[in-house]
Amino acid sequence: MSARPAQIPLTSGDSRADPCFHCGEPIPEGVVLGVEIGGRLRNMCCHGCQAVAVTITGYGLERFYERRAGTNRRPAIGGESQRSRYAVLDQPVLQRQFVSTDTKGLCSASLTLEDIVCPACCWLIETRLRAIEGIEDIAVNFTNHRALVRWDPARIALSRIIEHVARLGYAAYPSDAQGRFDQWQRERRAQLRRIGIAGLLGMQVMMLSAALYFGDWQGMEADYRRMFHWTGLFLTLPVLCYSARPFFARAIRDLRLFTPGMDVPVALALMLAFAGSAWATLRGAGGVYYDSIVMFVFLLLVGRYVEFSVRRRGALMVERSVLALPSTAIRIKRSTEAAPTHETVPAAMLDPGDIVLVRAGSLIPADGRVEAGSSTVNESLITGESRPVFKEAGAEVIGGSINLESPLEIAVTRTGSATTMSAIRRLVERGLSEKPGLAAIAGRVSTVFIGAVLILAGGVAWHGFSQGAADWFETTLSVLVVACPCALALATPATIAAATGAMLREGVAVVHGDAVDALARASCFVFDKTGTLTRGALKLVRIEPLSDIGSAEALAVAAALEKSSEHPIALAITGAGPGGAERRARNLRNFPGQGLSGEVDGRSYFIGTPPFIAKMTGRASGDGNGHGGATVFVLADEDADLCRFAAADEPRPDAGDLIAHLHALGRRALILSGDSQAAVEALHRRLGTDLATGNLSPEAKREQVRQLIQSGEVVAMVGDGVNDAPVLAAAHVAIAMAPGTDLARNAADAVLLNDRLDSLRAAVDRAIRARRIVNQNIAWAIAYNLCALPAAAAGWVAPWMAALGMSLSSLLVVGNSARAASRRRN
Amino acid sequence: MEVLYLLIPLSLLFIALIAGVLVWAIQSGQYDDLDRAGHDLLMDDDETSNDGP
Repeated sequence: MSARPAQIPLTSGDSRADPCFHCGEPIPEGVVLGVEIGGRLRNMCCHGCQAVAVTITGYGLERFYERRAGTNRRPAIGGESQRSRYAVLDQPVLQRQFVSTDTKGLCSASLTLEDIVCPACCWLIETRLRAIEGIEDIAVNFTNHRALVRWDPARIALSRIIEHVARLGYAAYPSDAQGRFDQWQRERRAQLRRIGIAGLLGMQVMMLSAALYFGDWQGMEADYRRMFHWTGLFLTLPVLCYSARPFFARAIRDLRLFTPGMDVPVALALMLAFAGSAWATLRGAGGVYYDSIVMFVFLLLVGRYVEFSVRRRGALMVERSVLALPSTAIRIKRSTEAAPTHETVPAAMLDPGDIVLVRAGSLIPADGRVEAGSSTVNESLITGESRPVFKEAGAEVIGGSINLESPLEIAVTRTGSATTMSAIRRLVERGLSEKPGLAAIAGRVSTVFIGAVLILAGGVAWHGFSQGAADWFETTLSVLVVACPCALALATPATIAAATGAMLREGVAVVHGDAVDALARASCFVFDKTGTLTRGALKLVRIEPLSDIGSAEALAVAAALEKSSEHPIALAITGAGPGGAERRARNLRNFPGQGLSGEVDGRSYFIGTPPFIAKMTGRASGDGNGHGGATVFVLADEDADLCRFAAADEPRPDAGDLIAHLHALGRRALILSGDSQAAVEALHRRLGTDLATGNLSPEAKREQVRQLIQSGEVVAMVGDGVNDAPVLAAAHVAIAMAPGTDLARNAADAVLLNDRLDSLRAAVDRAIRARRIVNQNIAWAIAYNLCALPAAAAGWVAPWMAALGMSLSSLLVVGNSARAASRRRN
Repeated sequence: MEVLYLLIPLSLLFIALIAGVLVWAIQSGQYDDLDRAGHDLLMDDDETSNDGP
């Protein structure tokens, strides 16, 4: 099975109209790359896909392509900088946080894998890595995209392991929150044990009950009846003491805190039914309800497990490693004798006073002050201001912002818990602990209901006893069991589980179950602007030729000048599409924050802000503002201004639809942003929102949300940046965009994984539908009881009827809940 | 029907054994990833090579 990268000769009608075989993206013009896979030549769109395909086929793992469920993500090409970032992971200081070493000297760690598409990807990684020398074992879990690796540090380093994974086209990084993952694993196993015991013993009890029912019908000798009763009692005891323990524990906690919840009625029902059945067993007379008890416990445990696992799957999709390829910094050591040296260190190891070099395009690792160099930085994630800010010697910079144009030497002033980011993080934590809660209705209804049933049962008991009826005890017991709130207890969890599972499939990961209810009841949606309603990147919106130059020509010249710049304006220009053949610019000079100059085809040009052009050419020029908050810059040569460009942060295409849909549902939509008022006003007019305020700091945003809540609104907040995180924590339900910062994602109740606003629209619809279904379930459960209770009080209900009624009623509720996951749009 | 006095306690013993095996299976991680097991059956293991591209 050869795997040589092949060149495909250009012929007409060739199959390069096909998308890339590996990643499914269209193959750009002029790209001729292919790999022989399974005897056929397959086209690739880039060197990254080709390299991965070559690796896969080279190791004889072609079966992967047959078995995968879809296309993979296009891999990022590594290169030197990537490899040096991996090398950081080998540092002992860092490894102490996530690597454990056993007695034989083998290391093990849990890695989070990205870009896993289907079980075939897990198989691929496992099979390839197992064969590598030094790796003792690797187990990849598809459900939570984690790999557990055990390796011999003497034979292979962790950075190499991660490199091998990268060569297969996936990203791997140390799982943070290893403690949380272990905890989840333990909790899940405990739940499975409880379900297993309840199921096993329950089946035995039901077998005995079947015998007893026939005995009721055809007659059974008292001795055997007594044996079955006692066996039933002994089988039910473990179920109550072990499997049902969480219900009792939660019920006690609810009672102590006076909070209404489903667990108190459940615990009461279980205890009373068991006490009554045990008493009947001891007396040797009367019906027993062991089968109802174990079935009740089993159904409830299964319902809670389904809800739990759906929620955890969502949470795992959201959890991003704080250690994800840990941010590194280049520390400059200056000495009087030798030349200054650069060393790459983890950002966490910086101290105040260190001088770091931050290259263009890199993250600033800590709060600091510029010592040398001048550049613009993008602080939008932290302040919400989408325009780059000019920094030169003496200016303060914030850790976490991105350096755009030219290298800066920065003296670190604050690290660790003193940084701006940490302060915001603390604001988030405080907000989360004070988070407003919306009381769930189901809990209150069920508590009231059970209270009424107990009174009724007491009344029946008293009445029967005082009348001297022989079977007053059985009647009372059957009243209690019939009222057993099985359906009521399943009503909410089953629906929420179905709804959140469907939402996850549609790209919205819900982390907290009560977010669904809050989302359905939200009366007011608050949006951030940059990155949430907009893409967060500048886009060219207008090209105005000022002389007789054509706009295509102007664009081509501008693109040539801006080709290697990372400034948002440069990206807007180069992203505006091909302006014909690429031109080359020479003698480029960058004036950070103002513009550039260079030569294209022998002529000298300038491009930048109008004041910059005025300075360079000596001509007066207009200002760079207006036009609805768009950024204006001008291309000029020595003689005349040639063309004016305007770029703005355009709203996402689905933003307008979302706002319109919310209005149709009778909800309000607000914009609260840290960006300039002019830009916010422009967006407000475009989208038709109800209110828009700009220039807000994180604290000011939080205050606004607080006021909304105080005025009685149920507030949903949508955001992505660090400056949104405190606000997210203050709202009733918080939604984060997928590529947002870790802080925002972790403060959120739901994350839009595919970064699209129309997922939110679908999620709101689903939440409203789920709420309706929950109400239907509760209504049914109560109606059923209203019919069945009088029958039980009249003494017409035998144990088998009670068990049958409970199971049918629960089935109906669960079946109705499944509708919350259906694809039908209403 | 007196044999029931033997059979029922015997069945309880079996249940205890089965419960023990179930708990062991859960604790040893056999229930941790339910999606992979079915899928891995489809991937035959005969032909991988370690020579590289």
